[in-house]
Amino acid sequence: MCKRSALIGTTILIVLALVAPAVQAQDYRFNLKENRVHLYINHDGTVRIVYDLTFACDPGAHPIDVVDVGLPNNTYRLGEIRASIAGVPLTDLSDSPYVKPGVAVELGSHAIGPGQTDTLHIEAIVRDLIYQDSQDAEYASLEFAPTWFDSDFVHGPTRLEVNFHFPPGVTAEEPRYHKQEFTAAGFEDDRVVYTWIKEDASGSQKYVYGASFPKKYLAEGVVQKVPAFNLNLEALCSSPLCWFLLFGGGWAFLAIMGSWSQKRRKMQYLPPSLAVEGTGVKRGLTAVEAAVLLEAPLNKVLTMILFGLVKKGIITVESEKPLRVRAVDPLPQGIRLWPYEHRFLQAIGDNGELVEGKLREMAVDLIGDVNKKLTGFNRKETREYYKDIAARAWQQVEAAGTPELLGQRWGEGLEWTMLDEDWEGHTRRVFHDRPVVVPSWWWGYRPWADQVGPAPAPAPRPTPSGAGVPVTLPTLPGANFANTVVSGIERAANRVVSNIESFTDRVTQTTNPPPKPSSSSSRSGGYSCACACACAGCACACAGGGR
Amino acid sequence: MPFLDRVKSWFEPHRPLAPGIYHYQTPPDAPQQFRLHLRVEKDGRGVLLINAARVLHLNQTATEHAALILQGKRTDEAVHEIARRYNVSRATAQADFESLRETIWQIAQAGEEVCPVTYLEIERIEPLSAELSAPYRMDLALTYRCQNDCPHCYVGRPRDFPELSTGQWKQVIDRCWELGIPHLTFTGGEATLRPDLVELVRYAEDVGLVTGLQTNGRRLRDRAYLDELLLAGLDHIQITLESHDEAVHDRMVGVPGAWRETVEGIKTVVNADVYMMTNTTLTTANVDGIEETIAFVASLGVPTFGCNSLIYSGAAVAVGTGIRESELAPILERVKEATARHHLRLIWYTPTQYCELDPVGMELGVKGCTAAHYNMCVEPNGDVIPCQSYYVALGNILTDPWEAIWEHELARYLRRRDFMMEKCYHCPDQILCGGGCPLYNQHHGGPTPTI
Repeated sequence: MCKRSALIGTTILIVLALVAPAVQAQDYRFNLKENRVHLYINHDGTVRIVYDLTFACDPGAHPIDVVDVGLPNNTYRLGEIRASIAGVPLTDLSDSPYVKPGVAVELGSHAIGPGQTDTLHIEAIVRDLIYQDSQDAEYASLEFAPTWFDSDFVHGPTRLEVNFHFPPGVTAEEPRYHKQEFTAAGFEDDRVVYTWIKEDASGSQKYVYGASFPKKYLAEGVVQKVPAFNLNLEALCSSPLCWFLLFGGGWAFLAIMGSWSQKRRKMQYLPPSLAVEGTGVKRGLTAVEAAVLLEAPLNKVLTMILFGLVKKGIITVESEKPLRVRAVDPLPQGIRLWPYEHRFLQAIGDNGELVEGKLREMAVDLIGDVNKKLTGFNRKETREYYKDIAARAWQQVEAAGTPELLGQRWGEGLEWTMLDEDWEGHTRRVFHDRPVVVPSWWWGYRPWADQVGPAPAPAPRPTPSGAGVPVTLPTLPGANFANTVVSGIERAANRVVSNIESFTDRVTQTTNPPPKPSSSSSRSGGYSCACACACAGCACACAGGGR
Repeated sequence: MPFLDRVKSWFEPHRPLAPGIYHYQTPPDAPQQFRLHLRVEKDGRGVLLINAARVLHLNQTATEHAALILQGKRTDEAVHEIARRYNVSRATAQADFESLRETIWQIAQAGEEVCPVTYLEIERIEPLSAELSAPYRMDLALTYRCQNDCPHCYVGRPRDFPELSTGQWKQVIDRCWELGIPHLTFTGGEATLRPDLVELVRYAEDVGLVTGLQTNGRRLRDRAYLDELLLAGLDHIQITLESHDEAVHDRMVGVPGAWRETVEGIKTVVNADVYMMTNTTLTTANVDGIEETIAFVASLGVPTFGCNSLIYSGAAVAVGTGIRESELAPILERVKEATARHHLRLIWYTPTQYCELDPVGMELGVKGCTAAHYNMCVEPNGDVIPCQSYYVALGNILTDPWEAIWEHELARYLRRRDFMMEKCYHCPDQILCGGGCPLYNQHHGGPTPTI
């Protein structure tokens, strides 16, 4: 598998805009809040690169007085580079001593001081960046990695935005993105624009984006070919080979010429590549299904289902050890339950304990359902998509301005934030210094809190419950709240099944059985109808059925 | 070749493989059966079809490796050939050859259960976006004659439409093979009314094509006839069944007694060793009892239930029993539920506007119009039409150059999806949806091509 991945990873002709880490000095410390870059691909094969880099200098750190920005190659001309900050042109530009190729921009009196935020604008024109597409002789290819910074200096999330402005004339359906599907596509000044946005990028990480487009929109001769070899004359002439070539016998010369001639006849070899028609991200999974996709531990998945039902007011947890729950009976009208939630409810025994056999069946079916839903969709892209949703769920919680909103958003996004592998740590960090109004549903998990835990220090306030009955919700100091929910959910996760290893083993024995050959027919092409494919990603030829 | 030309050829640059088709079929005693077709395009790229169902797109180098794999070359032979023609080390060529062979074999042997996009992390391209020189599948409408008389039939031609002779149909089959089309379905009208059907199936299979039959199933109740077809090599059969209810079916096909013969035909085929499925057109005439129809199909032992909505062509334009796309979702939920309950595989065929019915959201698969792109149809007289239901001739397969047919203005119009409505231009689902079915749109006030 590794070999295949590597193989495919190199199938698109690499035209990397290689950039290197930037910024020097030891006490620089900043957050790159936004890295927005526009690439204008021109008819003459030049590419105008326009960066807007928004830096927030950390309090107490060295002012940002010089910025080194990496550029894809050394075809830029210093005289063509334009830089400004807050609209004020910056003229002290030089080749960067640290980033090669790259440019150093001295901010001078516009240095970004500790605690300050400002945006550096820089424009450069580079050449020889567009290469022959490896898949299509009629297409040109551009791949680009926006500049990044040394992880010693930069921290925190970066909003990364990369825009490819295709040459004038390229139509909307012509460009083809490479590995990473664009976030949005549109028009600007009659040019097709592909935009990639990553809200939680790292300022110290390299991201590569690429696209191809018909080379007919470029002037002749501007599309680069990958060199088969580089001839280093200096090295050659200083080697004995040079003397051999000069003074060697005629037979040797002829042999070399013959070999050279044969080599010249040969075609350029690009790594073999396979592609299948398929769709990218499978949207619409629930958080629980996403957890299965992300291969979260099964006790975490079960805990997510448990808390989903607590939130809906369908079950209350009556005791922790052993874990006993009680479901409302009959189920309230109008509440939508997912199939796995129904199955979870069916797994509640008469004494309120969960019947592991039934939970296991539920887990097996849940995993099967998720796999079925993913058929035809790209698993890797889908995983990234749901990780991104989890990150955004945390951002929403973090952005809440009041204790009420904080509690509300935490509750609403709980299952999504639980996709975070470091959920416990993240919870403690988010809440450590912020008061929070505990959501009303949480007490469906802790009706016995008075007996088992320290009483919260409430600052009572009336809040309507889901049923419209006023209840009093406490405001907890954030750290207490974090401790309460983290330990509560940890306990639930540890007790939802008696032995998670054994439980998981028995589930995966069913979901990942030893490979067996699929059913075979003595006839060839047993299912050989192009229409006979309901796989989401496979483009099925419209049938001829239907009479 | 004259000596000088031969010497000259030693110095000419190597060129990509010539356009054509390569075929591989597992030996009869192989534990798992599959067929591979590799179509080499003019620019050297390739399309590899596994059981005429799974499509892989290959770059030039992968195409060359795949051709050697399909020819059964040993690793050392393949490496020698690749290294002779390409600037590549033997070690790289060997590693690539073995890796590609493993991948192709893995996908071929995985069958339908393992989707290469989902599980094998094969690079993907957008659905319905492949640029081709010919379709993957050609439907051969051998005749427009039929024992049924469906008021909702989409055939837009008279029943006495001129028909090619057996010899001419064989030329059509040869032409399809030359064009690199690996998959034929015999249809109509009712293809079993052609006395030469068995002969044509055998001919196509001998050439190397995968073959299927779309039928009302009535003739297939004759086991001897079915055996003839299967011995000829027929690979799959689709039988139209409109309802579990005899009266409803007979009314929908316009012939009393048809249901009994069709059901007998289904039973006969189910007992034979061939991939088979049924298909049902969902209309207001049969949709009320769709759960019962599905249960009935399952009770017959059919593994796969196919369905589509009315195709607005031929008599169907005026039948008045069509269901609007916006009303299909709850019906399809019922169909999904019923097929799941009876452990039937469900195939939904109709391309719809995703804003009216989103098949991807409903987990029915990507459905877009593939006319004049992934599939086309040859009429009984040899004319090529974009699909079985779009009755505009693009040219004649026996007398017109293929390029003129493939690049016909209407074919390009459909491939470019120029039939999309204005509301589609900025729709995020545009790539997958492509505007739905152009025939449905035309019938419901959408654009009509002025070609």
